[in-house]
Amino acid sequence: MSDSANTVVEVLYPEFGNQAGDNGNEMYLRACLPDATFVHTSYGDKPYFMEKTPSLVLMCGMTEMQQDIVARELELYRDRLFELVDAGVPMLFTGSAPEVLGTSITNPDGTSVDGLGLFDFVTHRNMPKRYLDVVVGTFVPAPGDKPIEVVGFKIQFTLMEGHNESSFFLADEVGFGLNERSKLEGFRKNNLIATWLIGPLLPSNPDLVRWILDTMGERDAKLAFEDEARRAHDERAKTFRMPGMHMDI
Amino acid sequence: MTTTDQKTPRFYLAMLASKAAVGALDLTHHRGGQVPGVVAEKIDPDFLSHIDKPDHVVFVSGTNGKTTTTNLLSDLLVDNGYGLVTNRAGGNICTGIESTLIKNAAVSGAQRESYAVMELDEVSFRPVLPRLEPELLLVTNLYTDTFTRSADPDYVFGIMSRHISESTRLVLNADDLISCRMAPQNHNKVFFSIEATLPDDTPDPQGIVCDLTACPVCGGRLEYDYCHLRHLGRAHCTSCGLTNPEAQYVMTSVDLDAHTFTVEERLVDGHPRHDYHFGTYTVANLYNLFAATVAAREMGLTPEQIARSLDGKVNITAERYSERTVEGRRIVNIASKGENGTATSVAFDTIRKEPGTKAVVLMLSDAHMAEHPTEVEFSGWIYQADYEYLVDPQVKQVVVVGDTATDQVLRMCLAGVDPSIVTQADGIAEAMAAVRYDDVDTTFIAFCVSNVDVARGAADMLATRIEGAHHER
Repeated sequence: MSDSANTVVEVLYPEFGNQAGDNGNEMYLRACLPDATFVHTSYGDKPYFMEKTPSLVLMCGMTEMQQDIVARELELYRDRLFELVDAGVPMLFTGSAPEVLGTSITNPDGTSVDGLGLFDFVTHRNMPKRYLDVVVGTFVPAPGDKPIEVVGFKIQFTLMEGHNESSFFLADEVGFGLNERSKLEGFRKNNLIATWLIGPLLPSNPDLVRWILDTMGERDAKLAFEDEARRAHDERAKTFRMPGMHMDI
Repeated sequence: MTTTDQKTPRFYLAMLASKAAVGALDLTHHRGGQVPGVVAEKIDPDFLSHIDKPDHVVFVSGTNGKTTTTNLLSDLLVDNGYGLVTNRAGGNICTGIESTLIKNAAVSGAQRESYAVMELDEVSFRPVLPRLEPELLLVTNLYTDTFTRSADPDYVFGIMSRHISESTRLVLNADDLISCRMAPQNHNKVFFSIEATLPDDTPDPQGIVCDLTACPVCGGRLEYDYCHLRHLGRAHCTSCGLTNPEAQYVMTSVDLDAHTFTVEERLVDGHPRHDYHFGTYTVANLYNLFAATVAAREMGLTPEQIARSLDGKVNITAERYSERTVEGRRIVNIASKGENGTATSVAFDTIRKEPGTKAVVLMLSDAHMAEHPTEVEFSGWIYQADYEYLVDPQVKQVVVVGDTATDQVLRMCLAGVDPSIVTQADGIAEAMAAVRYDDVDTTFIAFCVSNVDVARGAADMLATRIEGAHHER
């Protein structure tokens, strides 16, 4: 049996990170971990991770204004956050959330906002240009491990310039990565995953959730509605591989 | 109305070609809402600048309710003798606006009707407003809409707000702390607000996802006094003090038995009150009707004229909500909006509040996408829609069909809908054949607005099935 009564998932800025169905990630985790505690850290609150060590830190996508103030806010807690990353605490940043982990975010008018600098990349906001793609990629947790197939959507105003050749999350078979020239999606450092895949990433990727749960120490936790989740995943994987598959505006 | 540039030979060629397109569409009985505008822009890319405009142009915009409100406002004006043109059959983006003006124009470009009431897509403020400055602009509300195109309300707000001129008369919803802040450069505004207590008011925003969980100005914590519909209500920021503006048109009471609402006009001496009739009660309907009433007042209709029209034939159009009874079985078609969690949630909320047992058919995926095998619908909105509203002992069956059906089945499981009552169908015919209408009082068909004809056909299929079974008995 899982001992998820001691499990704490810290959701950073959930009042901001409810864009585009990213809230489906917490929803699915709650279904998998019915006895776990979910701590919501709102803007202005001192994060739970400053005093204790959560089982998982989750932060989802947000608007540009919210991203700017979150980048400033997290700067206050940067050292502890990095300490936990180095210690291997599982973390998941989705949608536009990874952008605060880079060195800076530049605006179309040339102004910029400092990022936390965990990864070596710069985010370029190119509004109103919208970048849309579907992604099928593989995640290899450790050398020699069986690759995990991950599917998802990318919908963003931004492109990134930087280096993730040795620290990527996914090798994309379908879809672009950090920018339109890249086939390497997101970043990975220890058990932190930062990905621009947006929307209900976890409900559509049961094998990725399995890895996250295992990494959290929840090897006995069952995948919620596993059959339905696998059907959703398999259908996406099949349709996304069709030549020319795309989203339209 | 902002016709600035000289008409060039290119303009006249564009006008002739687009008029020919209108004629061809009429001959072949096609609606082709945007085709004339597309043709015109191909020849004259700045066509909207060059074509004459009606003397009085009203735009209705906002995420939800703009079509209904545009139709209501148009009907109120026509019922009171105004000659006007609308884009009811056209599109609400730039080429749709152009198509509407083309149909209303002589070949010279001169407009026939002097009034235009048109729905305008929010993101289309960018190409349209610099070329066509409306006399009056009504904004119903702002919510998250199609994410692939519109991103978030903050982004859409920025586009709209930047392009509004100082002289346009703005009619804004004071209960929407997002859209009410529109166009700070404009001081020619009037606000409307429902101050009446409504039966379904809640202390906090409704729904699994709220578009206004934090202050839109500083990101601080919001405290709500009440909400009428989703985040529409009254709130203030505990950090910067942002709150809803004072309204000049205030709905002070609603009589559900008499089907009337009372509007107090606080910009008039003595704050006179006027009663108006409404048809089917939903909070969304009430907001749309209220907004149309305020815009009609701002355009010069008297309260008596509006009241007389609303007592008569002017009401919410049936396209969005229609019902029929076949051999004692009720079939209700209720519109939602594709890739829009709020509109879908409002439709689900309406369904759950209807009396009796029900089967619900979900046709929420875009039929257009089903016709394009290499186009996929972003499924994020499914997690922003309140499928939890379908967790109700009165809901006996859910049938789901369309491109995103597999995702919706999973979402319903996560919402707590009993998987044993959910059927995933492959196609409309299979969906309607799966409905166990004999076990319920009403079958609801919740459909995406792009599937109006498909939903109507589905209701016909079910009706035929019911009639066939009845005759066999």
